[in-house]
Amino acid sequence: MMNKFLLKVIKFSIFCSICFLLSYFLNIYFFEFDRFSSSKKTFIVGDSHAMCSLNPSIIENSVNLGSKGETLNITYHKLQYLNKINNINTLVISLSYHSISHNFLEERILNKSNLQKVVDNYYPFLNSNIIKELNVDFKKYYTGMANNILLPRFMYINNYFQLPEMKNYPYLDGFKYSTSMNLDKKKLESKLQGHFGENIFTISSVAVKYIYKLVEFSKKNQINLIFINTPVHNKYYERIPKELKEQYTEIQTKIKKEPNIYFLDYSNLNLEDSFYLDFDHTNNKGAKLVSEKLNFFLKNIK
Amino acid sequence: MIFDSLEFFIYLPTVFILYWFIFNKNLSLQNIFFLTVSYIFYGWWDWRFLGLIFISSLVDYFIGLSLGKVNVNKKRKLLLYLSFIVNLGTLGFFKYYNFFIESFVDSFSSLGVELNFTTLNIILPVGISFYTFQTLSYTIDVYKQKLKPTSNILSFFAFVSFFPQLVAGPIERASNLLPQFYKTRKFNYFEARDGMQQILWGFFKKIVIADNCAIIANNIFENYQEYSGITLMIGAIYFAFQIYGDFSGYSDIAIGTAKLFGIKLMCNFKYPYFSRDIAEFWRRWHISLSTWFRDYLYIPLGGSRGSLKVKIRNIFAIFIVSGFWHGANWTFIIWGLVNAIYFLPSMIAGTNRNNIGIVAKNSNIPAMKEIFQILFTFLLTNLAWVIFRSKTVMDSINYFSIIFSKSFFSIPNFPDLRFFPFILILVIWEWFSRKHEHGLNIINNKHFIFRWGAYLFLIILIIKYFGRESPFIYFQF
Repeated sequence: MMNKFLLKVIKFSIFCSICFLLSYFLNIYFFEFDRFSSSKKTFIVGDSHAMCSLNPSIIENSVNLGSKGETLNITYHKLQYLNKINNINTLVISLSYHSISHNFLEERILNKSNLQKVVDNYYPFLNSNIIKELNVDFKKYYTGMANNILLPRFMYINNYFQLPEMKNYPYLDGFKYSTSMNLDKKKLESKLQGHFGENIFTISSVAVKYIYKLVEFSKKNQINLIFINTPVHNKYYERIPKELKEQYTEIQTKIKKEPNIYFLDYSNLNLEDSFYLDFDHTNNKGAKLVSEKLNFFLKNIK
Repeated sequence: MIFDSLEFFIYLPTVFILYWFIFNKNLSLQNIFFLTVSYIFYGWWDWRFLGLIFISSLVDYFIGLSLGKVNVNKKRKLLLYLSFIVNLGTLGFFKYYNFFIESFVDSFSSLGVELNFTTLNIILPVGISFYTFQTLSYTIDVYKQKLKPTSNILSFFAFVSFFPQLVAGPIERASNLLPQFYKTRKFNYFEARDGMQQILWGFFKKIVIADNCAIIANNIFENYQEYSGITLMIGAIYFAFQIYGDFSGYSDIAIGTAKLFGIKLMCNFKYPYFSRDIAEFWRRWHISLSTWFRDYLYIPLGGSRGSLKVKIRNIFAIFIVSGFWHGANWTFIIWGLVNAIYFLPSMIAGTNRNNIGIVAKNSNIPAMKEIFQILFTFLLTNLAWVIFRSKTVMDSINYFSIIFSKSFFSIPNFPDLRFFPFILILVIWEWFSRKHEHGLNIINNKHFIFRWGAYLFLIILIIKYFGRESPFIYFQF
């Protein structure tokens, strides 16, 4: 009886293993673990600010690979990964005030569901060092990896035979086209709270470290690097802590000295309400304006 | 340790192999092993609370023995009360102390009298309501002389702490489970296979159905002010499937795990959402608790015998106590009250036992009348779940006021429809399984390719959604 049971369990386990191995090889063959490749020369990366404000159809020869809530450390690892098979000539990275806020980084780095998102979305380039640095639970990492690597990816297989789209890559969201406008004051408060905290403001040492790492990365690979501070609504801008603005300017001044590193600060353009999706993101109208400005700038530096 | 954790996936096969290959020599060895692995299982969560299970087991073991020796009624009653004091006292302290203090202070405060009592920072020991009721059932049965007291301390301790059902049931009767610890268990291939199937089905319900529904239900319930009436109704439906998948999934895993060790636990859920009236629903939902209250509260109070007034009193008593069992919150008490109100008309009309058998027994398609009955019962239970799920009574009132507003007829904001097909799979699959103990029984006679395909399909879905470790709802009870 027991032997029969164990034999059945073993047989079924072998059957499952074969299926998962097959799925694993198919995933490697078709998706190269989801490594994105593009013939474009200008790569736009960063968080939702890059996603909402930089329209790749306006910016010549560009692709927007922004991802919601992405922190600078993740952007850095993502670029290292992407640079291996892409020929990046120019990099545009959104660097807003909240990007260097300790409170924002805390929320992103310590929040459990965000960490789960990191495992789920960024698994193609996660390794033990990054996992340690991000403080992600190893158990979750390995279950997430097993999930992503071993399971058949039917929807991706389907997409492989069609035009490659951003949705094929979990760590890329792309340009967010939006015509709506929602300037709800309650959302402003919660946004400010999430970005800057309540009373005591501190700068994130992790963010600063990675800004310099990104600069080094660009220099090493001879890439033009443009940090862009995208427009935010006046009501949001006024509430950004003064100390943060000062420290931001300090970093800006230091980085600007480096060759091929540029800083575009559009945060205080004083645009009308109709340019905004919400208090800290532009909608399509705002994106058009910013993208045209950036395009003009890029043409000049080339 | 929780079932949907990596630890358990390692723990279970290890325990299985050790049990059947090393500790299978004799009964004592089997029971010692059970006791050890059950205490490790529980201690994984917090070893400090092992003492509570130990004391509860020890007290009831000796009270049971004394009840067997004493013939004087007064002394027997005293012993029974002693068991009540120890077990319900512990439960009351850990689970209800703060609730009583807060309610006491609030009620005086509403009269203008400010009292200054401090609440305690008490951790609720996982599963305390379950194992307390299990040991109580032993003492009560021995007191009523329905069961002989056991002198086998190992068997008794193993019965109280049996790990598959220790933290969230089914709440076993001593008369069913305890005798199984008196005999050496022998491996049975068919039982073990059935157990594996039931575990798989349980994980599907927990990880794929409940955890996914939880994402949507939690979002809607936590931000209910932002949504329309129709969206809130959808939120309640998602919660209905969350709690069903969560709790019945846990029960399936527990029952299936027990089968692997040659132990048969009672059925806890019999497809409750296919019930045609509330009475039938309560015969199919959390059966081990409903029957516990029926046998140890409802019947001793007089049950359905006596005057109408007595009958009504008994119905309210059983539902309110059952609500209160779930937690120290007014929402649970009102949830119980609402269910009593639902139940009452059929009890008064004498129709509460009209729907005893399985719906559409000889057909795959229910009659129109049955469809309406099922949908209406589901709607009623859904509305009651709103109270159960709300954090406060005020929240549930606000939730209802939005549901029953004009916005019910607006276009709902569907938060995420990705998980809806899984609910559909569950409902259809369970409909065809409704004559069986669990969902995978129906494929037993199919070709092995079909069976293995079905298992693999479920395993893929489980791996896909595994890792969230969202706690079982009933752990908090």
